[in-house]
Amino acid sequence: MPPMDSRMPMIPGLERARPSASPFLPGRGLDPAGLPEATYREVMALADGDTVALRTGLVRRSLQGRSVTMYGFNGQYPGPIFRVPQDATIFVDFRNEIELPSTVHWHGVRVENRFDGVPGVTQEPVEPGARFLYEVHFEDAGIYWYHPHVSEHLQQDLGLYGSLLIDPASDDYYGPANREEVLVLDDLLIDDQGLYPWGTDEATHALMGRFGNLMLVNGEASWERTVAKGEVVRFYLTNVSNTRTFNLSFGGARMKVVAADIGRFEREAWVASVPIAPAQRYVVDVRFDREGEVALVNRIQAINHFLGEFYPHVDTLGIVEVSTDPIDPDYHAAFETLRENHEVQAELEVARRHLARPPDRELSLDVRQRGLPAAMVQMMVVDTVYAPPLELNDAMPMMNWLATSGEVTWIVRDRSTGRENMEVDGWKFEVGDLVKIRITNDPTSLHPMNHPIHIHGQRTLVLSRDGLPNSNLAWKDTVIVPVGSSYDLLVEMSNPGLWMLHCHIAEHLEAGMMMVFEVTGESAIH
Amino acid sequence: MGVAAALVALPIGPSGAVALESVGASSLDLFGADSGMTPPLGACRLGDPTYYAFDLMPTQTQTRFRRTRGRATVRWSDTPFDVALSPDGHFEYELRVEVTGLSASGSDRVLVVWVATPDLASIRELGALDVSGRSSGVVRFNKFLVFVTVEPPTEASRERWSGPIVLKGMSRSARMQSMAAHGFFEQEPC
Repeated sequence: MPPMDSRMPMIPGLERARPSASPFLPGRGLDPAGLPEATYREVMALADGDTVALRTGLVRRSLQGRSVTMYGFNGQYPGPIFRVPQDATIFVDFRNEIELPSTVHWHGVRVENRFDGVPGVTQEPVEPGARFLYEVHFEDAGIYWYHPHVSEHLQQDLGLYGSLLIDPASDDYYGPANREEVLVLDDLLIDDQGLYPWGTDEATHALMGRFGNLMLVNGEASWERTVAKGEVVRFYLTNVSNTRTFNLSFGGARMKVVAADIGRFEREAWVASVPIAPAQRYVVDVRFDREGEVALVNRIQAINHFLGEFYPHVDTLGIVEVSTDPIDPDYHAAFETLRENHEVQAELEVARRHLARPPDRELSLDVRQRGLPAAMVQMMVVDTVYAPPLELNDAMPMMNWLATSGEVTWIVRDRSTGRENMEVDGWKFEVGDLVKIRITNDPTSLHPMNHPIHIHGQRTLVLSRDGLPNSNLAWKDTVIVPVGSSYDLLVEMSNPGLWMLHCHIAEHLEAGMMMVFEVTGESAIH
Repeated sequence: MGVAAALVALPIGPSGAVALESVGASSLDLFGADSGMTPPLGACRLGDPTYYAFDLMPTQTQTRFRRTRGRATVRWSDTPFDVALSPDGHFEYELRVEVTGLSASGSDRVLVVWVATPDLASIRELGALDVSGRSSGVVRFNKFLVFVTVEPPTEASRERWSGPIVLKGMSRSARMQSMAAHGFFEQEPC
């Protein structure tokens, strides 16, 4: 039985049920004491043309007083930060030293197609002991990340992720800040024995994705920083969790959002919290103007489907200690000014012309199951009167654990042809096309859920949400499509090749929720 | 035995999986493309942006408004993010109310829209209906009720209604009671 919130009752008939997937833990049979202890990530400043080694391997971690075996890039948690100037190209000599095939996907980076890291589409998987040389060109500034694109549900969850911080070519790209912090948000599912097993051949938790019960910031369960009073801190946020959407805030500290996945917003905006889905990134500036402790928290209204109730839930992810020392220089005045990014507005003016026209393509999001325990199916059939637009907690942990990617198929469906997932065909575009895609998350499916849809290799705008125009555009690569909603995206086809469109809930990806589209022509970026 | 237990009194095999044929259904692929089964009656059409919309119905005592109807639509409030959440995690909705079938009520009274939590512990004025019978505002409640009342006109904001309730409705989330009870609400209109 998985670790469960005691509020959640056991469904009669499922007491002895087990997932059909074989349990998996890394380094089976190895004593963790014989493995190298993982070290905290390093920041590697790289220049155009540099080559860097990146190696997966087994590491030993201590979590909540337990010694556990996990994965790491270069023996670190998270993987090293590659800090690279915009427009630079680096070479990454990847060596896979875990027991499973792997690859590296450069999430959000408009790399040349053959280096996108998708097994069976852009390259063959890198077998244990094998190597692959990636060439990664950074066209866009901001925060990006890298992770495997093979068995993401366990490889990524076990620690294979790292950040890519791309410094803008212009000194004035962002407003001034006193310091920068790269925060990687994650959660891990553990019990009294340590890591809770994953599925080997199939993913468990295929309904809602694997929620963890141990919150991690930069791989640590207790993240702390000390800042000076009045300090403006630029946070580069990345959510690497399998399924959890966080709702982040820093106590009452003032916060403004500056940039999304692949670029700045048209205008900076004051925000009280940051809802960030798996794989998404945001750049936020926070000013700490009161001395004392400020908690970094994830605050949600959780749902108990069995009792039909919401209840408040808070996870404390870290602590910022604000000292009495005044900051120098003081960027208070600049911080209080919300910048209008006129060049972004000018670039995106053309996009708004596509608001009124019908979409070029339409997708619907759905789910199908075959072979789940009848007790589960009956509960799902009954529980249809209300599906929340976002599932912010694991509201049915036992049912979720039992559902594997062998029984559950998550579906992205072309509404014009009815074709699903990798059977979708005819999605062919030319470099230079601006393609309007309407994605509708079907609220009538057996188990509707929010999906962070990730589009590889290109830049995407959210033009409108349920018919309401988006008033503040920014380039993205991952968009939450909530239950019951229709979002209109505008995808700029700039990068030729065969590219994935998929849900970034790792278990939904394992359960088939992916398709391929093709872009032809000469690259607009390389 | 509770309702849930009665629903699931089925033998479970070694793997925990049981074919649903044992309870009479023709396929485990419920509501899927090849199942041949129809979705619940309360379900919306795919692509219909009104999954979270709900009707406002007249109260029986206010006969003057018996032909009046209302519709509340729910969309995300404006946000730089993909979804709008309050700092404590409430969904932030732009609630739009549109009322039809209004009779001329005279200039000495206005119709005002209110939102409230189901226990009425928190009540907030959304605003007066305009000449087109519309009002809108942001709602940050998990479950909520909507009321339209007759009020004297005022420039100041009102803390609580004083006039009679003429229309009422509840959010889709408020239909969620216990999991076993959800089925009773499936016949509700979309």
